[in-house]
This record gives sequence, structure tokens and C-alpha cells, in this order.
Amino acid sequence: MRRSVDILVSELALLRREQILPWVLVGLLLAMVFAGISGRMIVNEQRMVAVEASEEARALVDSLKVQAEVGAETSRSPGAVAYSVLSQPVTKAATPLEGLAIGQGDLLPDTYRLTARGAHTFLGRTDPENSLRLLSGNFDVAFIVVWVLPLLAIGFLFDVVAGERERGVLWLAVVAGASAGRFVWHKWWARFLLLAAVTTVAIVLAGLIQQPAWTATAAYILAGWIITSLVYLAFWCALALVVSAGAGSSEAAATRLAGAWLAFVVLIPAVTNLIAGSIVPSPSRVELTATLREATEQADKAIAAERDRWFFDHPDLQGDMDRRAYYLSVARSEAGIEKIMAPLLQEFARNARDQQRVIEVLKYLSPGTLTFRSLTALSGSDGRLHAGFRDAVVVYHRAWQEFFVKRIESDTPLTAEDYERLPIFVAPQIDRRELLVSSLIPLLSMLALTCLLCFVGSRQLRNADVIIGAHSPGVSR
Amino acid sequence: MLEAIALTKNYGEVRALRSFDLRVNSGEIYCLLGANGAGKTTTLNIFLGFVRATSGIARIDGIDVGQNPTATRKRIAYIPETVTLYGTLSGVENLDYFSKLSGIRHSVHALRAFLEQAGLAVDAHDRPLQGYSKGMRQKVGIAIAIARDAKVLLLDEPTSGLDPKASNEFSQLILAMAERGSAILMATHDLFRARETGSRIGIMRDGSLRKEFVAGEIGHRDLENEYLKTMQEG
Amino acid sequence: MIIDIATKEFRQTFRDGRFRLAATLFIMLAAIAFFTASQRYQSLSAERTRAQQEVALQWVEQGEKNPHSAAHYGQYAFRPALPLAFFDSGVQAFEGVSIWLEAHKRNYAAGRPADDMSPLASFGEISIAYILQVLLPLILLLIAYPSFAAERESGTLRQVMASGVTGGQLFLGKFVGLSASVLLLMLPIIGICFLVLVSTSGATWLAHAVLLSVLYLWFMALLLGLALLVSAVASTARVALLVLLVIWALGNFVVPRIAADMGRLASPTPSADALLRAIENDLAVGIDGETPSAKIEKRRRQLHALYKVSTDAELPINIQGVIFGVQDEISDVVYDRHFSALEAAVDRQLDIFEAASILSPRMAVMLVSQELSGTSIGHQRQFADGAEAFRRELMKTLNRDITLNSRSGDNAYRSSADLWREAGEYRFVPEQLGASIARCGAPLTVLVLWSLLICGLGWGVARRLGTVG
Repeated sequence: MRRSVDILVSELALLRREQILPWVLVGLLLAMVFAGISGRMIVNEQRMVAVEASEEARALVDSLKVQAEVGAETSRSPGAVAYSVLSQPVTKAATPLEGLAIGQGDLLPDTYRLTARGAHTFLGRTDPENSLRLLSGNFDVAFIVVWVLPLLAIGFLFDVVAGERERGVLWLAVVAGASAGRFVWHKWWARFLLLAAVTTVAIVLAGLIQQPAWTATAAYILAGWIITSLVYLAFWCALALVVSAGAGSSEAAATRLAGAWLAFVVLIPAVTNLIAGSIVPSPSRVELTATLREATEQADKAIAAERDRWFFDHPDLQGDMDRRAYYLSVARSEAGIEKIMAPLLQEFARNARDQQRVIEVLKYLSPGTLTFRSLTALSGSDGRLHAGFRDAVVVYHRAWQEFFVKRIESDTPLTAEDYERLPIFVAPQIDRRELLVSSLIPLLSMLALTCLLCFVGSRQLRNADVIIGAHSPGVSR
Repeated sequence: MLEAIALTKNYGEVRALRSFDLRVNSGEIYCLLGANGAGKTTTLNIFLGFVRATSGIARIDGIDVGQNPTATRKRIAYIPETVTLYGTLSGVENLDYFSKLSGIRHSVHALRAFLEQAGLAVDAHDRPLQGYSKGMRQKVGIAIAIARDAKVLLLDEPTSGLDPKASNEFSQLILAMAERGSAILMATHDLFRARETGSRIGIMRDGSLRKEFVAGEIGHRDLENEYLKTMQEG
Repeated sequence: MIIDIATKEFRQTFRDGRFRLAATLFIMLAAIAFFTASQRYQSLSAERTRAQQEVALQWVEQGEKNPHSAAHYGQYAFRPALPLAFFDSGVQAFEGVSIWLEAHKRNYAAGRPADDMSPLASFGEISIAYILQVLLPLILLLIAYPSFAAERESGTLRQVMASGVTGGQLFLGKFVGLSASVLLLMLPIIGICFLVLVSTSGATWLAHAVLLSVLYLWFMALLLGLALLVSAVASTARVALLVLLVIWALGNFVVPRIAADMGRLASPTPSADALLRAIENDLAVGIDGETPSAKIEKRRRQLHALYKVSTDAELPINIQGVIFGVQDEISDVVYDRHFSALEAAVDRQLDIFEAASILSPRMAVMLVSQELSGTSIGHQRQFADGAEAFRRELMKTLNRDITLNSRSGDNAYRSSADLWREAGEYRFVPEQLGASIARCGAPLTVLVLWSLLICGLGWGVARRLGTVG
């Protein structure tokens, strides 16, 4: 044990002498910190918007309540308030450390502003954005872990066997009485531990920068981030060992590992994206637009017909339709549109869920996809929390509509107490147990794969060809 | 003809060559002996135009190497210690390429003749070079020199790593080239081969030529003694 | 001499197992990209054309109604899938595909395809442009990195230089030879793209396609020059490979994201909510220091004075049409102000992105490629601006009809299909090539600078190839 520690310490001292390595590690740390800050600023900006909207809505409700108390007409009219005055912002629950992985956070809105009008009026609304920025993606901590960390692992370890063999060091060590396996594993562990230490420190720093409320959930999520990242790092380090041992030269090893990175981090995930889109093609937004237009037109015609009928029945009342009748017709019109639109909107929601299910299976094709899904799940930005939020919004919206439509139908004016009894939205929270269950299998899979690679690497290191090189020039057999 | 006149090369504080003089005439094989760091490779690099002399002149066929490195290279054939060439190309293809680089085009028939002349077995001509032994590669290197009809040949430890038979074959080829009029400068550690092959032998130490002998006028043992004495001198 | 060197390089590359493997993979991916992109383009194109025709028909067949009701019914503008979108989908997935053209309101495009994409959308899409921008450069650097470095390590470079060839000849020869290998992969793809383009849209976009070909050939030449440069300067082949891989990874994946995030932090765009509220506030406040009601009242008085009447009913026109016009005037100014501010914020982000492209020529190529393919932000804006221009004309036509063909207080006034036809339907007009190129100034400058840098450094390095010290 002591000997192992001594060798490890010597290895670390050797590594310190490599001029470029300290800079690389510092660069990793700084990149993570920058990503953490950037993520935090993005999340803060989103939260500020949500808070402002919420405060504004609250102030409006208070104002309406006061006006209702003094009998102001508009504030007592359920129709006017429901369809013209009041809009209720509802916000997705914040997740501790969500700034570490923006994921789908850029595309899926975390605040909806709903009214008593149909759900189609707010569910499809998006923020105006720089589409080139959306195309480029975010420089968040998840990106650094999934895309950049493997490159560092490759850079540190691609020549751990091949390079030592080329330099003749491996042969010398074996001749001196060391086992090749032990010799290489010590090198591997030194490099892995160094990278792991810096990664852990970097993630903790990035996590601290998020300034989360330090609850058990937050601590759990941070631990999950660290463990997932370290297992992913271990996978790449193990792969580098296996490839280095099997390659004829350190150059060949570097090339093969670059190919592996390209496959696991770039190509397979992109192909997975393609497959998911092919198996579960998105419904057409163009068709949705056309259907909405048709539904709206039909509803308008129905209102007009109803209005004509009303004036026919009340020839003495020229000019305005009475308010109740008007808002009742609006409510019916909205209900009619919603009846047509609801199945289409549900199709979109179902499509999103189906895609999630397909991705949950296909993610096992690539450690890059697997890790990305795990990290975004921990940060609540993988789309599933949003799907839950969206479903809750739809349910809440129905309650909101019902609150006002009941009063329109019964022609009951709103009172100050009614404003106290407005339905309250409760955003679904990230479920720690669900996270544990959903992240355990991917984690164990990655761990199993890593262990398998380590086993293969160990077996390779028993092969004489790996030590002396099967095709080394100048070596006579 | 090869000429070095008061050739000096300094690498910072290190004096790799100190006022080195040398003359190799056509038909001569000059063997340069010396330990590692004596200045043999620096001498070759200056003649090849890879390194600029700090002072002094190096000439090939009367042309100043420092002023016209490209022109002088066209008159030189160079065989390094390890002839690597291009592994995925065959012997014929490598020979063809290097001939064209020198501005000379030969027919395939002629290229094969050069390889045969260099002693390379016919069945190896079309095999990729990555399957050749060191000796076989050396022969391709010689074939390049023959194909270029170079009047000056620079050899850097050419027999290093060759077995005695291959080494002997190499010597025969070099002698044949000298007979055809080439001036040959060979840097080597191999005292035996230097005595067997060379016309004249020079012993270098610390960048200067310490002793010079006519090969035919000194025996193997005496040469060895002189060499060791030179190395031990202050 | 250069041709001899080039021939040798080409032959060597072709025999290299790595090149054959990479080329096979490249061809497979290109085939997948072609197939999926073409399918998607055809399906999108058909869908949007059909939708545009449907809304045009709905507009004309909406029956008799008050023109202002028709104004609120409005039309829809659908962004068509342009022919070269199959080559480079650009930012299309992240831009809305339809704009509702309604009265008093300027909407921004809705229906972003990306909203319905899988959660792995951030891994990108394998388009033909992506393959040429990301994968082919990787293949290129894998075949080019050993060019000088490996030969130097093995001693072959000394033998080559000793043959009398100059550094410049060697550099150019290797460049030409490796270019031939890369062209072997590129040209069939370019050729097939031309065929597909001509078969779907004739000669209309041919000039764009030619320029795209030149762009990508230029990009490959630039990268090849860079790879040879690094190979010539690196101490070993291993170092050359590592340096080039780092440059490739940083330039393709890291720098664009950092640039995009920095742009967002430096110049954030407002949320939909904030934008809407700001617009609503300004609409309430009015323009030129006048509230909307004051402006309307002023216009009313002007009309009364013009026609020498004292009530709306006495006017020979319907003042409601005029009032709608005033409201549109105000809303146009307010929306222009806010949309311009939004565009300016996005433009500042784009400026940062363009500036960062000095570190990654791929970013510059990406920007130019999107412009030439018709899938850039600029093209989206051209679509949105065109739709807005049409909307304003549409509203003017409808308001004018109310004003001139009815009287104040006439709530029963209806118009019919004749007016709807007169008002016209939205038709997308693609912008001229020159307008797209005009937006490429900065990225093209970056490419020129990179070319000059590589040529300059290449010349210096080539000269020193024949010397050691």
C-alpha cells in the first residue's frame, strides 16, 4: 500500500513537470467557473422576469380587490376581469443548480401568462430570441463535462501505454521487476485522480456560484452532479487506457480516441436525435395554425349569429348587447375553440412525452447522451419537469376558467373575497426519489461499462506485445 | 568534389566545428571517424545546406553551399543512418519519386535496373517499403544515389544496424560508385568498414580534424589504437 | 516538380487505411444527411405551400363581413422552405414559421420547429453543411498532420530536401496532393447538391450554389494550409495531431458557445411578457407627445373643418375608417420602435459572434453559408419585414374601404370577396443575392485575414524547411 502511494506521489510529481498540464487544469477550472457564472446569470434573468410578472399580477389583484370593495363596475364583472383585465403568470418551480445545465431551458418557457381564454392563447408563446445563439448552444457546466472533459481525459491518457512503450520505459520497468499492469495503473490512477480532483472542485465552485438554498435536495443534486461527472470521466480514462494499449503508436491511439469522441459525443447523439424525430415525428405547427384559424373563424361566426339572435329577441335594446350575454357568448366561443384545439395541443404534449420515452431508451447508445440526460435531469432542464409543469398549468387553467365562467353564467359579480379565493398555482417540484430511481440505472450502466473497460485494459497489459510492441522496428524475435 | 575551408559552426557557447578543413576528390571515399558530438553530423548538415556555417566555406563542385543550397543539393545524394522513405509506396515508386524530385525522369525499366544494381531482389521491387528490412531500405537509398548519377555522396552511419553480409554488400556498392567518379564522404563509427572501404580516413574530436591517414597505409589494429589515443587525448 | 509531389501525396493518402475508413464513414453520413434533409425539405416545402394556399383561399372565401372584422381575421404569412435549406438548415429550426397579419398588431413569427424537437436538439443536426464544416475538416487534419512532422521524425524530410527541392515546392506540392484527396470527397457531394437543386428549383438558386461551392472549397484550402503549417512547425507528429485536434474542437464546439453566451450576457433580449407590456404602455401613451384619443380627436376636428360639418354623421365618409387608420399609425410607430430595439439587441449579440469568428474560421463559414442558403437571421428578418409591409398595405386597403364606402354609424356595412381579392394575398418574395452577400462583410473579412495569415506564415515556414539551425 505504501509502495503504491509512493509511486502515485512520484507520478504526480512527474506530471507537475509537464509545462502545459497545470495550465490545462487551471483552464478547466476557469471554464467551469465562467460557465457557472453564465448559467447563474441566465437563470437569475429568467427568475427576475417571473418575479416581476408575479408582483405585477399581485398588485393588479390587490387593486381590483380594492375597486371591488368600492363597487367599481369593471372589477366586479367576472367577464371583463377574466377576458380583458387579469392575466395570471404561472412559473415553473426553480431547481437548485439549474444554472449548471440550461438544457431545454432556453426553448421551453418557464413562465406562462394565462387568461380565461383558451390554452392555445398562451401555451405556444415563446420569447423572442437570437436564433443563432439557440443554434450554437450554451456554454454551461453540462457542456464542459460532456464535451470538453473527455478531450482532457484523452489528452492526459492517450499515451499512457503506447507512449511509454515508444519511449522504451515500459520495457525497462518490466525488466526492472515491476509488473506492466501495476506500472501503467499507477500512471492511470495518478492522472485520473488529478482530473477527478479538479473536476470535483470545479463543479463544487460552479455549484456554489448558483447560490442555491442549501436544502437536502440541493446537496443531493450537487452530489449527483459530482458522481455522474466522475463516472463519465472514469469511462473516458478507461477507454483511453484500452485504446492506448491496443494501438501501435501513441499517434494511432490519439486518432482512435478522437474518433471515439466524435462518435460518442457528436455523431451518435445527433443520430439519436434524428432517430427520435423519425420514430416520433412532431405534429405540424402549420396544421395547428390552420386549425386554430378555422376554429376561431367558426367561433366568431357563432358569436355573430348569437348576437344577431339576441338583437332579434331584444329589438328594443339597440346598441350594446348586455354584458352578461356578451361574456357568456365569449365563454362559449372560447370553449368551442378549445374543444377543437385541445386534442391538437394534447398531441403536442403526447409527442413530447413519447420523444422523452424514446430518448430514455436510445440514450444508452452513447455515454455522451447518457451523461447529458443525467445532468440535465438533475438540473430539471431535461424537459420532464417542464412537461409536469405544463400538465399542471393545463389543470390549473381549467380551474381558473371555471372560477370565472361559473360566475359569468350565474351572473354573480366578483367581490373582494372572491379575489382572495382565486385559484393558486402550485408548481410541481423536482422529486428526489424519482431522480434517484431515474439516475441510478444510467449511473450503474456507465460504471459497469467502465469496469469492463478496466478489466479489458488489465488483460491487455498482460500481453507481451503491448509492452514491447508487436511491430517495433529493431526488435528481433 | 567536396571542399571545406576553415569551416566553423557555433551553437551558442558550444563550438561544434572549429576551423575544419577537408577536401574529397572525385573517386575518393573519405571516412570521417569520431565519437558522438565530434562534429561529423554537423559537417554533413553544412554540406547538405541544412545548417549555415558560422564562418568558413563549404563547396560542392566549386559551388558555395551557403550561397546556393538548392543548387548544391542537386549534385548530392544523401543516405542517412536509417533510410525510412515512404512505407506505403513500393521500392520502384520511392525511387521514381526521389528521382523526379531531383528533376530526373527514368522509365520503369531503368528504375528496376537501378534497384537491381543496388542489389535489391527483383521480387521486392513492387512490395510496399514498410515490409523491407533495414538492409533493403539501404539498397533503395543507394539506388536513389545511382539513379541521380550524383557526383557527391554523403553517408551518415550507413552501416549502423546492418549485419556483416549487408554491410559488406554496401561497401562493394560504395566502392563501385567511387570507381565511377563520385566523391564520397562517409561519417561512421565503424572502424573496420572505414579501413575496408575508405581511401582516406580522418579522426575528428571536438569539432576539429585531429588525424588523417591513407587507408591503405594503416592496418586495422593501428587504426584502432590511433582512434583510441585521439579520444583519450586532452 | 509540384505535380510529382502532389501525385505522391495523393497516392499515399489513398493507400492510407485511415483515410479509406474516414472516407467511408464520411460518405455514409453524407448519404444519411442527404436523404433526411431532402425528405424534410420536400415535406416542409409542400406543407407550407399548401398552408399558404389554404389561408389565401380562406381569406377570399371568408364571406361577407365588415372589413374591420376581416382585418382582425387577417392573413397568415408562412415562411417557405427555400431550395438550399436542404443543404444548410441554418437557424430555421429556431425561428417561427408563420406570422399572423392582423389589425393593429405586429406579431413576431410563431411555431418554432425546435420547440417540438427532442431533448437532444443541443447536440445538433447532421446536415450536409454540418458535415462539410465539422466532419470533413477532421478527416482533412487526420490526413494532413503527418505530412511534415512524421517525415521529419523519420528522417525522410531530410532526404527529400537533400534532393534539391525547395521548401516552397514541397509545401505547395503537398497542398495540391492533399487537396486532391479532399476534393475526391467534396466534389461528389457538391455535384449531387447541384443536381438536387436544379431538379427542385431550376436555375434560380444556381448562383447561390456556385458561391457556396467556392466558400467551402476556400474553407478546405484554408484548413489544409493550417494543418500543413502546424505539421511543418510541430516538433513531432504527435504534437501536430494534438494541436490540430485542439484547434478543431475549440473552433467547432467551444468558441461558438462562449461567443453566443457572451452575446446574451452583453445584450439580453426582452422576454415576450416584457416586450408586450412595453408595447401596451407605449400604445396607451401614444406618439409625438399625443395620446391616441387626442390624436383621434385632432383628426376628427380636421375632418370636420375640411368638410365644414359639426358631427360625424354629417361627414361624407365613415370616420371609423379614419380612426382605424390613426390607430394603425400609432401602433406601427410603437411596434417599429420596439421591434427595432429587439433587432438591435440581437444585432449586438451577432456582432460579438462575428468578432469571435476571428478565432474560428468555421464560425465565419457558418454565417456566410447560412446567408447563401437563405437560412440566416437576415433572411428571417427579410421574411418578417416583407410580411409586415404587406400587413400595413392590407390594413390601409381595408380601412380605406370602410372610410370611402360607408358612412359613420353604419354598423351593417359589409364587404365581399371583391374587396378581399383587391386587398390581395401574401406572397413571399426571396431577397436578391446581393442583399445576402452584403451581410457577409465581417465573416468574409475574417476568412480573408485567415487566408493572408496562413499564406504569410506558410511562406515563412516553407523557406525555413531546408534549414535546421
